[in-house]
Amino acid sequence: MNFFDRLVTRSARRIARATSRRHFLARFGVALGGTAALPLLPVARAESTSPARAPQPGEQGDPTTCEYWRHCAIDGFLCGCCGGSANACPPGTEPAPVTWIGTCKNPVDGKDYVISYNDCCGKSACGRCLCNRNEGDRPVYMPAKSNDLNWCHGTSNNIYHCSTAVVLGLALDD
Amino acid sequence: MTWTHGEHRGLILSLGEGMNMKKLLWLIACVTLPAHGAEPLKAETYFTATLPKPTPHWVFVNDMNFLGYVDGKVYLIDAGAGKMLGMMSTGTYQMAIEIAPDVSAVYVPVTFYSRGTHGERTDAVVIYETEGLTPVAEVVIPPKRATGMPMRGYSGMSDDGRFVYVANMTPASSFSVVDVVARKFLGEIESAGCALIFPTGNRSLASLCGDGTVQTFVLDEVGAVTARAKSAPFFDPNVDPVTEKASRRGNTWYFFSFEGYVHPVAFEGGTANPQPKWSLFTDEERNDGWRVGGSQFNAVHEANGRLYVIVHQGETDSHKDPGMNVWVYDLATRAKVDVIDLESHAVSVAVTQDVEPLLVTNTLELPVIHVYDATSGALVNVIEGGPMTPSFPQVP
Repeated sequence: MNFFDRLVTRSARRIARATSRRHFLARFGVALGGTAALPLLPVARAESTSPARAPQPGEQGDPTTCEYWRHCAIDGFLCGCCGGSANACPPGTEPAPVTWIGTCKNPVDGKDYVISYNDCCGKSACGRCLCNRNEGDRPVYMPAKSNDLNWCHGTSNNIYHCSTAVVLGLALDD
Repeated sequence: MTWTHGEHRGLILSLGEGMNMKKLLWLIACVTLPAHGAEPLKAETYFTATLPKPTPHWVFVNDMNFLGYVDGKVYLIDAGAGKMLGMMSTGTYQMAIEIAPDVSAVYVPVTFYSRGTHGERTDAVVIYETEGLTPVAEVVIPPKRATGMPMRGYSGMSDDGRFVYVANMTPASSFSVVDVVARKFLGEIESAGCALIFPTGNRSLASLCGDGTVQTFVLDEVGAVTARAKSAPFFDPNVDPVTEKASRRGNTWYFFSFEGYVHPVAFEGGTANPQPKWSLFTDEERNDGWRVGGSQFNAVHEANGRLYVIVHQGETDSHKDPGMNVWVYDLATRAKVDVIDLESHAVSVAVTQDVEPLLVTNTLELPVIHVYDATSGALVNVIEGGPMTPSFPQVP
């Protein structure tokens, strides 16, 4: 199956979409995902005070597959297939400081996490591991929830290369 | 030497002892000359073709060229003849085009970098003359244009063909105004909380907003805002948002919600007047999972008032999935009047605006365009082999 087939053949295993997105947004106002201050998964928090790297011990799955739990609202080339990882841009590319977010359920602990899909920019399309899942995706007039936008904003140029899937923290219910 | 007849009136030669090159050439000349002593082909000149006059079956197909999007393209096809007529090479992030009312020019908002994928960024509205699909001028605009998966609403044109509007996102929302007749950038207008372009007249347009409204703008002759207003809320973006993919008939825009409700919004003098919503699906159809989805999944025939919608059966969040059916509605009665079964799944549809309209469909991942008789639903043409990643067709 080529990548375009995957584009239209949605993942057979849809991870349950969390219902707490709006609560999270209401609490935090805007959805801006920065890579500088990433909250840690609870499991990792107890083990280290340094920033966590994906994948963490408290999760399972292959970050280079579309079915990976963090990818529930992603639309793009998976950076893990392009020389980076779920939370690292490939060499020589620049992470966008602003992005859209999704809320995905980690099947290991059953908790909902806010995932930041920071784009990596500065080189043309990676072309590998295209993944389009639209759980909770909203139109571009709701940009923080839209995966259709080119999110290479705030970078030295807007040339899109691939997308990460960074854990920002637990999605908190009110 | 031995010889045998090949499949297509040729000879398969094998050199044997004693065959020299002179004899071989003589033999080839003998067997390749036309039969019956006919004149040999004459020498030809070569030249660049120009397009014939536009016909109602001209269709422009946007191709973002997904894997190589710094080299975007727009294909011109004759949907009735089933052939490609030519192409525009349009640069990075090909989203949508604006076609002059007389089809003499095509305006394409694009992005360029001085070194291909890096260097200085220049955004521009490039003006192509239609006869040769050739760029003849450009108007530089602020390097802010919004890009992403291609959508019609990333740009728009005033009804008189003078102003082209280009949506911006940094991610702050605004739009640029270009006078394509004077070939001049007029200014940038902020549109906080709202996105995309929906023209509503010669000097007015609207933008969809995250609070369930549209924001309307009225401009003067130099592109400055003279009036700005918000409509009453007509959809709940947190319950059933409308998609960005809409169709216009007269001065009414038809927006479509994820759950398959039509939200008409009439515009008069630049003011929005949302109309009561109506459903594309019966309760039974909705229970059976029928949904709208895709990219530009809807189209309207201006004269006969038919609405064409690509539908599929799917779950929540399948709002970008393709469909194998086009359901046809009469906008006057809101009744479903026809079902067209597609030969191949589609995410986008356009309908030519003549009295014998054609439906043109595509899907992003297949380099093929399908053409149907919009009245009978019969498959008319299949154009294969490019555009490689067609996003959506546009008709003049």
